[in-house]
Amino acid sequence: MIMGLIWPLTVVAEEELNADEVRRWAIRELRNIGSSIGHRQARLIADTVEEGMGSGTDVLRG
Amino acid sequence: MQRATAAPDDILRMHQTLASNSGWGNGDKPLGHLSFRLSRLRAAATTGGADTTEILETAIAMDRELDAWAGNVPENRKYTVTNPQGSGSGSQRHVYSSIWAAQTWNNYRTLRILVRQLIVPRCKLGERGTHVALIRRLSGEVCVSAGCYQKSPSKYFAFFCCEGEGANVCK
Repeated sequence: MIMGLIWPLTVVAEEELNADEVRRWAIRELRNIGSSIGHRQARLIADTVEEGMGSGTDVLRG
Repeated sequence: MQRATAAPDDILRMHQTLASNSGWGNGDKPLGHLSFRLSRLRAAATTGGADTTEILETAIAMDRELDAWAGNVPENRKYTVTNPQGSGSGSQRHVYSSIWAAQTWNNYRTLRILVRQLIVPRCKLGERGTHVALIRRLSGEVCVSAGCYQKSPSKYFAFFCCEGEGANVCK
């Protein structure tokens, strides 16, 4: 079920209309998933989304 | 969905064949079916396979279907919102009937956010506020549902406050 949270959190983190603090919270939760259960995809998504916030790119929308 | 490509027809046909009433209501319009249609719509929006008006109208119709889905959820699959004592103003907690119910609700929220993402850039300027507000509200609900247990990795598996698993959660 933890993996089932990755997609919703990714969408929340990627959504530019959300406040930065909401997006960063979702990113932290993705990292928590990655570190708690060793789920590399969650960590990768968190890193990619956070990098995208800085560069203006979008993981989901390309 | 992530790459904005359409789901293969064979998968959609298989889903239609195997889909049955799972007790969530809307037996003929399960979330899975809506997600396949959304993947196609996102693909069309990305590749230019449909014009702006068609995408907007289809997305609005899909949003109505999702709204109807949420409105038709049986009582035993709904969740409640509580404000834990001493948790500070504005704190909320969701209580779901099961982990699976929580997951389904988050799938609904995610699909609806993605649909609204198609609507916002194509709707009239004066209508954007409503759509943006819903995106933010649904995003907040995802965060609340995931944030019942904060900070402690050891409690991370107890992601949702589930009535049936109360003894194991929130500790």
